[in-house]
Amino acid sequence: MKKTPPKWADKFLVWYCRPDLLEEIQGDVYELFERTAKENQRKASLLFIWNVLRFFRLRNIRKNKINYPSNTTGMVRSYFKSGIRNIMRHLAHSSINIAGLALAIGCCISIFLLVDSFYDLDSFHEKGNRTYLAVSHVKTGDETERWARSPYLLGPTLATEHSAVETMTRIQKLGDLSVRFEEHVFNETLWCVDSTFFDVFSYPIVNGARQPLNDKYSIVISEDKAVQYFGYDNPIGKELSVKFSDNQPIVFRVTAVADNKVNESSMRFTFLIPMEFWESYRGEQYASWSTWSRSTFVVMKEGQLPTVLNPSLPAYHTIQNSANEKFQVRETEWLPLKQVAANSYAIVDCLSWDLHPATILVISTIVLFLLLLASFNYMNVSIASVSLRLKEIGIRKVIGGSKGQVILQYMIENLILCSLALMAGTALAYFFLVPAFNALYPITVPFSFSSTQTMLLFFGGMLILIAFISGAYPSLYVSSFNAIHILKGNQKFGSKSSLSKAMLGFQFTISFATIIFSLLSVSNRDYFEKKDWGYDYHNIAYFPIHGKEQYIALSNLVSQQKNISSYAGSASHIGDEDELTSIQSGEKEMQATRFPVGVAYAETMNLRLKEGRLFTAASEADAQTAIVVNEALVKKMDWAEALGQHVTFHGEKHKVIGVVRDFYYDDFDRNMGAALLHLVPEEEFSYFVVKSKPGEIENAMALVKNAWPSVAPDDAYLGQNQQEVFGSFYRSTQSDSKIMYFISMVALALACMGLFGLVSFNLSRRLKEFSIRKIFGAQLTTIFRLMSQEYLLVVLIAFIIGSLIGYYLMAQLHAAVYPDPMPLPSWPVLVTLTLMVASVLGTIASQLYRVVKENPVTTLRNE
Amino acid sequence: MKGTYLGELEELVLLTVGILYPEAYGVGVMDEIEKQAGRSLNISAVHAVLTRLEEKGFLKSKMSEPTEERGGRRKRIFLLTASGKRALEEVNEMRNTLFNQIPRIALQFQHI
Repeated sequence: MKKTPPKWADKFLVWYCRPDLLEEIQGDVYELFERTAKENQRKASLLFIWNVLRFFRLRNIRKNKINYPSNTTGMVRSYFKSGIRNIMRHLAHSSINIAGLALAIGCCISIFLLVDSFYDLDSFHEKGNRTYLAVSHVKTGDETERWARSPYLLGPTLATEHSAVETMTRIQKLGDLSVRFEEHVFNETLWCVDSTFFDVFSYPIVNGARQPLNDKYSIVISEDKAVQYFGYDNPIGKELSVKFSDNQPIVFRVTAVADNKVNESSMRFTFLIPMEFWESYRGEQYASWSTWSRSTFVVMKEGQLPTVLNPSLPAYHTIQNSANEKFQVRETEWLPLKQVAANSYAIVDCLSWDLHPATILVISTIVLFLLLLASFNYMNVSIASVSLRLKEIGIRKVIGGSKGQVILQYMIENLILCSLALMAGTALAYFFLVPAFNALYPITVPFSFSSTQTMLLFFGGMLILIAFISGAYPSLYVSSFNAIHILKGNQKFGSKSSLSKAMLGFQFTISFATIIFSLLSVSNRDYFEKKDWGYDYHNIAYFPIHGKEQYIALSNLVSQQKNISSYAGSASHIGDEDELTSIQSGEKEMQATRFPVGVAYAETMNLRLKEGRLFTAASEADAQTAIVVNEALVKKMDWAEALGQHVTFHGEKHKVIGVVRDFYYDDFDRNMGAALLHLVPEEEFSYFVVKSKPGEIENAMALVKNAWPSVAPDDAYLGQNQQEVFGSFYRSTQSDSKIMYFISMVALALACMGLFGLVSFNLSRRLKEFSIRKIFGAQLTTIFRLMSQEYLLVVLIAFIIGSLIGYYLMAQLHAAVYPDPMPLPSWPVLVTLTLMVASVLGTIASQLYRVVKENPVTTLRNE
Repeated sequence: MKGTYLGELEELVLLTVGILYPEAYGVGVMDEIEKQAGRSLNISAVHAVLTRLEEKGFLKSKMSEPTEERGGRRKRIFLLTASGKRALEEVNEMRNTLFNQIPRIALQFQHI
């Protein structure tokens, strides 16, 4: 038996030893080993190890730097050049790569801008880091909710009693007011604010007084409203008349125009009037502890934290809670102004617009996935394209290029491509994606970053991330080839690469999942559009009005029309306005939505009577005590027999005379809750509802609109088709599904680009084979089968997995969001299947065209 | 003359390379030193000295033809250069000169 020295020691020697010294050193230690081994194998081995260790000296250790002095900068320059040349040479494939990456980067940039600007909202306020919103933790029923509302007197009391408070302002929001300038009447939302409003917030005053709210009848308007009302005239000093709930318009004088910073502020005001006016208008009772302020903002002095106020809070809560027993304030939380927008989704009645963190998470994940997809694409195509560059790599290695250098070369080429993609993506986002996004949503995302630092971090991070994800594997793969094998031409390579197929499968899985997901969300919208609202909403229109006079005028107008089958007045309206009220029956107390209505309202709205009767005009008792309830209320009250039950609210006892089927009065993602209707006198009417003969509703609305100026000269015409009451819900889901469509199409496009890249490289490699087959008379179908079979299976598997994932996600989402999830239909699978077959076959066919067109002779002669 | 200073071990190795002409290589030198001078050296030490001497210009080397032993690996054969020869002569001469200067009386131990 031939004796051999310990392998590991030998390997160690080979590893560390300078190549030029290796032979003699290894020879000597082997000679000694063999000599000793004749006497004692063990001793020889030990000696061998010992010698190897003793040879481990600085002098003998390989020194790369000294052995291979290289001109690094020169090489890097050459890499840049060859990288750019390579991109130019395969322009088609490079552009596919760049387009794919750019698309994904564009999406990334847009979403990042949205998220960035959202979290940066309200940071322009100079005192922003000392400003806090008082959030009340209020016990309602069994739950404790976070309210943006706070006791009306809390702010002023804190400001006078605590020296740590610099200033404060309260905001009351008054919606649906008619504001008139000469003959222009619009329906507006006004904010009543303390005169310190501009001390707290840094909304710049564009025009007018610095302290514009000192006068009781002053009004501050936003820039866009100034243009809307006064065009290019100077608005300062102009008079606006505002109509509050009674019929007497009150005249305000414009004292300033302020920039409401739509893009930087989470709260959006259009008109500001002084709180002083509102208090005197509402009377003495108003400024008390039983009133709620919609929002109270407190500015602390420099260096003071709002926690210093906490010890005195319980005393205020006691006063408040005794004045207002229905809603018990448990504690007051101080929310920094900059965090209000990010938290507003969890705060009831917050004035800031909200974006649920889940939404941010979902879109960020999707966009990251897109980026991953594009990177994988690139990776796939660049691995495939290696086949065309094998010789180059072989030669580079043979003339002394180290593995590290080949890696560096590939990484640099990669970086060039990624930089190009980044530029293209930025342009795409700037010119197309961000504007499109802004058009879809009621917000405007400016194309700017919150800070230069963020921008640099974002772009730098993005570049490195993409370059690394897409370039790391190909460059490692390429650099590991053995130069001799390459040049001899027997390098086994790529066509059977299961990795790139796995990547392709992954890409298609994701794109199918997103397609199915988006199709499902669209079908979900259709489902809600066709959904039974609990009443027939067709041929109904409603018009917000003020009081009896307008009601009678409109009644006179429509009662003579033949195409109008029914009309009614009401103080609230299903789908537009309602009010939660505590009701009591026997021992039970609960919350129900209350609709104070006119006699014919329930019938006009097509509410479906289940038992009992609706209101009758003749009955005096009905006007006082009768109520009609819905099934949900009966169920919640647990009544066996609903008719004749007594219900108390607002201190009065009412009797149930009828039960109607449940109906939707809120967004579809809420349940159909308990509701009741009761009669109110005509003086309180604020809606006029009309039901027309089928198909005549537009005419009826036109009739009312034409008569409007004579009916209500001080009010804006706000008539609406009942179909539109959930319009905002539909519009938002519509925007969402547009985005989903877009994203899924991007995903599909990316996957197809990946497929295209792979197929076309595969084809380039097999062009000779196909040519020979053609010469021997192969049918086109045979060639097509040969080209597509290895991909079809991958795509099919991806399709199955992707569909399952899409369905699963949608089912989860539905279960989480909607109380009444719809059954998931199966047609999206068919659509996706069609899309899949079309896109895959289209991609392959476009390549097949090359084979068909090409004369086999030219291909075979080539090289 | 710092660069041409010859250490004791270097001198020994240099001499051995001369003795073994034309077959002086690492293991051979090591064995010869053990045989002649009774000093057991590690092979890596011998290599270090040989390389140092080559850098100083006292030795030159070439690779031998491959042989059956050592798994076909070649040996590095060391040869004395002219300056190596001169260095040996100088050392030898200086030793002799110094030795000759020792008074005769100092070597007559029987008188002690």
